[in-house]
Amino acid sequence: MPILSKDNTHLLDPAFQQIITAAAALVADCVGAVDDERFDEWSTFFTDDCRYDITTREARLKGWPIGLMHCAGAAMLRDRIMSMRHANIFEAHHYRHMVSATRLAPGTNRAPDFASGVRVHTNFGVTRIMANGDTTFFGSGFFDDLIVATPGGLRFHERTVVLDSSQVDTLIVVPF
Amino acid sequence: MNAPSDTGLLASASDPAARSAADPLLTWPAEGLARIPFQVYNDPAIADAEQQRLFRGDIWNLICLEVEIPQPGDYRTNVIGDTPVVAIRGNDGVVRVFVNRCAHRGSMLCLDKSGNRKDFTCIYHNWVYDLEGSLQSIAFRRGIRGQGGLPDDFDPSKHGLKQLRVDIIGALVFASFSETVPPVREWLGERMAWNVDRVVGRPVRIIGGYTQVMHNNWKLYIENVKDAYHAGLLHLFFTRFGLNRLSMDGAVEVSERGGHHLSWSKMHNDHTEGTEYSDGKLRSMKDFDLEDKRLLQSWVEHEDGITHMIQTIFPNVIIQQIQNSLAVRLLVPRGTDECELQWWIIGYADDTEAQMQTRILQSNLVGPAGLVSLEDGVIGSIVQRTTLQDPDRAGVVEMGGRTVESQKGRVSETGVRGFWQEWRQKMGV
Repeated sequence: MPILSKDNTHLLDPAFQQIITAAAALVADCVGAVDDERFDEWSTFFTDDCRYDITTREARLKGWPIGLMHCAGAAMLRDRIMSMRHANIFEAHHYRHMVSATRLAPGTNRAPDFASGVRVHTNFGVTRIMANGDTTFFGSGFFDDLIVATPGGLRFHERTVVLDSSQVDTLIVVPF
Repeated sequence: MNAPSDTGLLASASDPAARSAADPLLTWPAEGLARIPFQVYNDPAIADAEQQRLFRGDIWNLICLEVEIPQPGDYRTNVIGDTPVVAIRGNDGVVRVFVNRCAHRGSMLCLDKSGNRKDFTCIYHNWVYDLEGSLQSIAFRRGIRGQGGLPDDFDPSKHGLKQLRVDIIGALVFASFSETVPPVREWLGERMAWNVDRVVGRPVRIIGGYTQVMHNNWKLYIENVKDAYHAGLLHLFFTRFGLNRLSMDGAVEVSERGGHHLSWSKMHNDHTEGTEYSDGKLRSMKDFDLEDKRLLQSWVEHEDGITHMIQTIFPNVIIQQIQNSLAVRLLVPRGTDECELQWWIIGYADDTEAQMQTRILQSNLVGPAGLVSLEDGVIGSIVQRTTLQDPDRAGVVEMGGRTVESQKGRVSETGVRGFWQEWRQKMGV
């Protein structure tokens, strides 16, 4: 298990780098599934008893328990996709995420270990591309993720999508 | 109403949008309220006239929730139409609302959404006002070494902040430019005030909030809210899970002038047999189901058994009870073809933890990502685009007749007609 250092020397520790690289790859694979519209795969990146929230910077600062979306468990993630496909009415569009390097969440004070869960942050920007080609910058923010090892591989146990702005253009139906 | 105000800046408060008698702002179709001319959604002159005749006219404008400004000096900024305003609690505990503008050159005084301050100090030239809006000090009023400064006869008492009338009902802080509009409770009328008390008449707690930007004229959204007919058709999630169907016991009620409305239903009193819901012809009957039904768990919040209550307060406030999801919404125009919807998601100060958890799960139903309501974010834009080049064409609103009155059942557009009745009266068209 890597040791966290105060002088950043742990960044050179291969064991630490292996963890960060794996976390970054999971984050990238998950946004890839969304951007490629492989929505049936999306929920498989999460544990069965996961928590997934979309909230805002303002809501976090104010301590509001309600953001824009709250799913308790992977079944609710699948229900979101089902509703998007069969119930909700909206104009066709897809996303393209641009993500930053994945970093250990600030305040982490013990060596990261997927067995007990690794909390990481990854910035993102996302564009929304309408069917006619209109492209807008839809939002920016960061993923606040808790990644755990499961028998089926690495999974998100908690994901909070923290949007920088409290203002949403039109609607959110495709998850981030 | 106190005397000081930035009258210098308001001296020419005429109606710039008024056209000549030969060129009226708008000629309403001969069919009356059964038609809505598309011009109302796209004409910049109408949007300008709304600022003076509507938002600065004889109405009350929602500014904030009182719980946002509990302590002396706490303030919350917002807008009335295009006009920036600030609500602030004074040292005497009284909530006042001012135009958020220095009486000197017009610089905005409070730039943040909320905060606390001891006074209003303008960042531009350091003019200082107290929390009651009176001008207290002026930087270099006497100049420097006898040079510059204000004339000796300059009277600071004539250069206070522009103060608006304020009235508070339940959790809601309203303000008005009008000296003649009756107090809020009277302006709402007994029946409309009943529901305001019902939903926000006890201590509330803000548990969420966001702003939704929509690409349509603001009136298309408010019409949509008043259109009880669409709710059980467009919003498949409502009908599929029996949250709100047109076949449930319910009603659309409109206020005397027409502008306020209530639309309610009781999900435990549904009668789909013999309706289009039961013969499978509607899009809303396509089969799908939820894996996790916890989103649909609710408790009956009120003894009256009403599980779905949407209220509008003319012209642009919405009070929502969808099961146990409670919210206040304020709709703000941004020109002719854009608007913003500000949401306050609320619970009650004395909610139990279990009730709060239910509200959190049900928050998935509403807002820009709401399973039942996300369609409302785009439907206005889908209408707006077709109306642009046909100002003389009109929408047809004859569901439930051609007049304005409260009706049993909700296959009705009476609420939409009611809005236009009061809008026309306020706008003089």
